[in-house]
Amino acid sequence: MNTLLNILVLLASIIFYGCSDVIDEDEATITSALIALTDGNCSEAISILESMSDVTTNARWHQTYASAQACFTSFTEITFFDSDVDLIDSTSLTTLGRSLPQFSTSDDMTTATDTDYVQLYGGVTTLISAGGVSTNTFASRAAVFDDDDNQNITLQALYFSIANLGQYFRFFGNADATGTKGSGGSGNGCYMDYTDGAAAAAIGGASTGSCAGAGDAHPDMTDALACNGVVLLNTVFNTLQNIDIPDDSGDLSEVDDTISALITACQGALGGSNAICTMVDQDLCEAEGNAIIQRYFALVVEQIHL
Amino acid sequence: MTKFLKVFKIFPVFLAISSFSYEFNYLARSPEGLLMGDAYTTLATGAFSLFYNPALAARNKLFAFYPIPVSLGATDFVTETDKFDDLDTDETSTLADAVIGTPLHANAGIFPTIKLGWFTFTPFANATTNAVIYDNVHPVIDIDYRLDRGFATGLGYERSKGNGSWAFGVATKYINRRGIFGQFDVFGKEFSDVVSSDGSEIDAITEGLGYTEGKGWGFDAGVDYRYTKGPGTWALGFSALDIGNTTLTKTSGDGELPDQFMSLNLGTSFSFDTPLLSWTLSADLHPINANIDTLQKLHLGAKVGIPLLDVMVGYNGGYLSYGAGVRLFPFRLYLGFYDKEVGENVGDLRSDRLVAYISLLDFTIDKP
Repeated sequence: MNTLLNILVLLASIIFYGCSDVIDEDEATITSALIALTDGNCSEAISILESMSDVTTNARWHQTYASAQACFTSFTEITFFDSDVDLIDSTSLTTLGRSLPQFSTSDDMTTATDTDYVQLYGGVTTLISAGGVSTNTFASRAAVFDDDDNQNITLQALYFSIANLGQYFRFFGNADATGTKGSGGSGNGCYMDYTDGAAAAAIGGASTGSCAGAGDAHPDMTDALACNGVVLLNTVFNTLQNIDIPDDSGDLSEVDDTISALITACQGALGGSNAICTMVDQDLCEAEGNAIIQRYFALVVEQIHL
Repeated sequence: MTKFLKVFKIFPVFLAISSFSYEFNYLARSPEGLLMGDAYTTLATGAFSLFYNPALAARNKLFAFYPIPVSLGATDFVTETDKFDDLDTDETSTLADAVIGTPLHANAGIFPTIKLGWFTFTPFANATTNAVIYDNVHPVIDIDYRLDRGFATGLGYERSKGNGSWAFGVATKYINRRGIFGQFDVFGKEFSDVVSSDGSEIDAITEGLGYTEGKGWGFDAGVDYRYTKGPGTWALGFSALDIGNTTLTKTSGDGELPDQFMSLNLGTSFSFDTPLLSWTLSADLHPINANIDTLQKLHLGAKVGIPLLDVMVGYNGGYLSYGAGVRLFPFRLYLGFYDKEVGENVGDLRSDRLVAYISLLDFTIDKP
């Protein structure tokens, strides 16, 4: 009887030991979410991912969650690389700014709250804030994730940001199919209403294109939406300064060279208030206030997108 | 050529050096068993005994030799014809639609086996690649490429009383595993570097994806009971393979290297054997211990044999399997189809596979 009991205890121990780690539960759950995304079941993927706990340092979770948010839009990285990345022309600020609104997904945004735009922006913020970092920079994430994971998160954020920026330029910049600012159907020539003196001083002439002064803003523009643009543009810049862009990415790797002078000029012009020139946090940006945001737009956004 | 198209240029490299997902990976499977729904725990009396139940080593009578048993497996593109017919491989979007969410599989293995009485020795080399690309928005490729080499050796003990017969067996094995395991962003850092190499340098590809090698020893034990009356035999077996997990120690590389996880296997079968007709019904539960969908653990099989020909059908953890085999010395040839779940639950993601087995010059000498 004792022998039989010992055998049963041994068997139970074996079963108990073996049950614990055959399939990694977190990996399996994320794979289930990936399968849902493959089938186009965006909400199901979100639900699966939100059922998980202790995900702060799980890079794959953040990447998959961001993808699930973008799943509600027409953006895919396949289309991005197949059709859009070759449109990026970093020859000059003009060519660069006008190339992004020409992306295949840029005209998807028809209102300021369009799902195509809002969900993709949600994906960007999920990625850049991954790891519960206090500021959404590459360097902050490096303290949480290993280098490969951080680079992958940052690259995904870059692809999302560039496409999202294309929508932003097209809609708020009132661009037409050629990407030219102020040539669309909304009637505005500027992004913002430049009531701040320092901002207004930077507006006008060839450097800001169709934007010639105050009272010509996009009718839906708010400080919060303006800060979306700050986050997107600075995320692109922050990314390109910190990682090597894969081959076959067209002119993407040259974009930071094209805009770095503007960022430097922004920092010089704003002096002690220049944090916004590299800011990648929506809340911090909004806290800067309308005048500082106006100055950023006058010195950077209006000059990139002509 | 776009980056996505380039991804597929490196697939043949994986297939060539060996063959991808989330499935329980056994060290080896019998192709005949797979065609019977993998309900084979009590039936693996040939070259694959030690990969199902070491107690079956004791079922050998005198001498058996399987010098060249080769198994081959691949994705069943025949069943997937609607996906791949008229596929324009230069058109990224149509190629992506066809490939994303389609599990890819390739396998090649050889398991020469010698049996002397209750002793069995099987050196093996088994290469498997499973891969799936998930998610259209941010494509992720899941790769499991493994080349296992080593040997398994087992010793059985049989004790008969009347029509009943008990067999007990233990086995040990040495595994040298090398491979690539993990999820990679198709447009991410590691994979982009690899794709940039155009697939021309195999070392650059494998190292870039964390090619890792390791080795370890594992232990198995099992018990088998059969009751024979006339042409009929009822069998019941239980085995614990890779007890406590066969832990592999890395010898090179810094990627992931999965251990060979323990599997607990329970099987039963009834066989009816006459010179002109034989048939078998079998049922297995395995891996009992794995935290996978219960339905995936259920395996049912049937085989009908007439001289020279076997026909097999089965239920393999949620999906159908079927095939046929020819036994004509010096050949033994099996060919068939089986499906396997590679997602978390049955119905999530089905991998359609075909399997072939050819064995040359098998012979056995039984006691008179």
